[in-house]
Amino acid sequence: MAASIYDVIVVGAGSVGTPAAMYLAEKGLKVLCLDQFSSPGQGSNKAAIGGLRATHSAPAKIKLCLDSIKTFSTWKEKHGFDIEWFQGGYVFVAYRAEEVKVLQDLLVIQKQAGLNIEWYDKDALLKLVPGLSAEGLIGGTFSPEDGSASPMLSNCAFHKRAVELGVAFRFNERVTSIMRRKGVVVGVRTDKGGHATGCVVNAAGAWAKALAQSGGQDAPVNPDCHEAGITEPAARFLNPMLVDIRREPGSANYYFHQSAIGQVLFCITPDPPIIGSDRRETSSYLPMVARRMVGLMPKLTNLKVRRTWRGLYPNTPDGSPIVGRSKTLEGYINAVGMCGQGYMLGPGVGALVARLVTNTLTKDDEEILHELRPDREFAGTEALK
Amino acid sequence: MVEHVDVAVVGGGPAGISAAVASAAAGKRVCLLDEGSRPGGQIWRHRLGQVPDEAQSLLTKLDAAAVKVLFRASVFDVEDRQGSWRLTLSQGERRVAITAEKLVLACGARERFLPFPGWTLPGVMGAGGGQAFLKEGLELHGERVLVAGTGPLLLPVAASVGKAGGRVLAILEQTPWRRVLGMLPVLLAHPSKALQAAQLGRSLFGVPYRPGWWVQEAYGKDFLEAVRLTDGQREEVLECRWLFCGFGLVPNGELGVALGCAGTHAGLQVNKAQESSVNGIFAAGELCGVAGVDAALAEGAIAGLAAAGVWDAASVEGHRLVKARARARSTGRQLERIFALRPELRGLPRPETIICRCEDVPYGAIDPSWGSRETKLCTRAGMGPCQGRVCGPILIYQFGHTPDTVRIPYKTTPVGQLIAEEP
Repeated sequence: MAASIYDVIVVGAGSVGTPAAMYLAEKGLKVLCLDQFSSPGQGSNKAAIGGLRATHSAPAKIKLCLDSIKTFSTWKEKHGFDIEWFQGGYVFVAYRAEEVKVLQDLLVIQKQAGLNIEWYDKDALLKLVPGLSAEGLIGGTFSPEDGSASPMLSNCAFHKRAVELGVAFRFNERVTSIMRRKGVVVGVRTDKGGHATGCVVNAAGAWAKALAQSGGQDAPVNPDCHEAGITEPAARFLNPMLVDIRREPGSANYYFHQSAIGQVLFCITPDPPIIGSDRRETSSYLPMVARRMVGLMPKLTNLKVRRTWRGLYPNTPDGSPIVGRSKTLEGYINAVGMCGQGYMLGPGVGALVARLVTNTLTKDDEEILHELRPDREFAGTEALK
Repeated sequence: MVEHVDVAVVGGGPAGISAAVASAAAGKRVCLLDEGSRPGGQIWRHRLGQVPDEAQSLLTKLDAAAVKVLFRASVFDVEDRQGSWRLTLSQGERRVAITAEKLVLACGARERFLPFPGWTLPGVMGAGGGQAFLKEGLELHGERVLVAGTGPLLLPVAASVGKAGGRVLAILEQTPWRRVLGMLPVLLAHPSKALQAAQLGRSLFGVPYRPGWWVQEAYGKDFLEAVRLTDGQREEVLECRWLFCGFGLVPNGELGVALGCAGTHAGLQVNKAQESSVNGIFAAGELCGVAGVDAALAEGAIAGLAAAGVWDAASVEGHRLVKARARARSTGRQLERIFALRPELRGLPRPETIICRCEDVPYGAIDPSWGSRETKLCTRAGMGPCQGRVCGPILIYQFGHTPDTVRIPYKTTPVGQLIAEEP
């Protein structure tokens, strides 16, 4: 008999795995969380710039993120750990008719899903975001309940809470295969040995596909690279996250916000996408995002950039996560393909996984799981990737 | 717009100037970049028109050579263009791009700081930093100054304090007497250094030199008022206005490590021609391991000649340089042994003592079981303006961490200057 048989093994101690382990333990389960890196959040969590929004186009993502935001926004008062939550909202700007159409079409869906979001015309938007370039501005959406927090501190907080709840964490341990017997999960094999369990949650982020395949499962998750950066702190001049979805030669969208402690964090999406998992930052995107940011908000020009980095977006073909049980391998659960939104989806997905494992799903949960089911056709596209 | 040169030299101290002069003499187009406003680096820091004697001949050669020199230039990006390097730098309000066939890194070294209670009080500064202020004209008007830390640098700093009108209470050298005596053979082997030491000794006549003593704590409300010192058994409290405290130097190897050169925070690895593990990148002087100005001069010349493709170790000049380098490196290693940091210094910080000054991270916030990544992710240590250049060596010393590399932009740069010109 093995020394420990875990109720659940969560693979990945990142944006999704850490809160999932925490919520599973909250349900009273005996949980092991494994990560190939040396501490929580060293996959893509540490590369996130901290934006937390429910402003999506897919209903499941909107609902999950609304739930996440509840966790982030109340964490400090509930647990006394300051994760630097700042409720500045999200603004998607429109300078051309095509963005106006995309954003206004989405408003309908977003409102239906319960999102607090409104269209602001040019003057209202300029009042909301002083310093925004007025030239050619048509308007934009504003969702005041969105915000930001520190991904590193959040994951530290979730990890601390998970440990308090009894989760066992093992770092520097890579899962090499999911062990099965007659179509049922019986454990995981790692580079350090093995662990017995009847339930494995794949929360391996950008590394999810290989893990799934090691259990004979498919996960159409392929990472691409985004580059981000941070400036020195400044007195507050910007409340919401600004998102510009215009595509330009070399880059798709880019976005930036001012964190609770005053630093401006920004991120740009290379176009065409850089597929792969090489996490070394390049010389190419910083000049590009600098130009675009100063174009959108000229007063950024004198703010000093401290460093840049590259992070991975574990993408799925339709831009929505893959969450749910496998139909072909009993005890295997996907919590993968967050498409760069693992940080904002994490607590929502983690809590959902905990309800799934303990058979305490609500009707809403069933709808979400249907939308994100692993065996869907991946035909749609997320408009606000 | 983009200037092209054969050799770009990063750093205008003895190693960099030596490299630039050597490459230019071999007929190469050379560009020398430095963050300061005059050539000479930290060691030959001087006011305009007051060139130090020992620097004169090399600076005259630099003036005469066809070297393009850019001062106040911070290199914030270096891109590998497969066969050449593209450097982007910020110079005042300007953004400048240079492409070069070969790179010589001669970024020198910086001071090592070690934390003790009170080390962040105004009035406490690095020995080298204090020296720089004095050279820029700080006047001390009879104020009481304590010089402490380790290494030969403490002596000229104390001498400068005296020259600036300060009253040096003592020089505290953490290394014990028996090891300080190990300097004697070094001095005997280098008559010029012995002469320098004798001159310093004369100017420091009457100043107590106290090996085996170190600072335990600095006190003061808004400014330094007193210092508590110890030799491990006895304790004393000295009232003073300034504490110049230096614990040796740390190589500025960050740019090289970021570019993939093999080596560590203690020095980049180079071959006999001063070439790093990355083809086309040479390194010379302190960033290959702290060894002083003689090593910098020899290695700079070798790197400059090698970058120009004319290095010949078998030539008369080559022979001389190899010998000078070996001698200087050997002295450097001896000094490193003599002035090795004593373990007691590790026990000085209290839980509330600041470790990372940029992000205000106290010693007690760092779990000793963490590595450098966890420390950074959980406390932000190393994420401030210096990007770990000050607290990195402290974390290495206190906790045995492996430092993170700096990232693009290698020096903090305003958003507006990062914008590339339209191609």
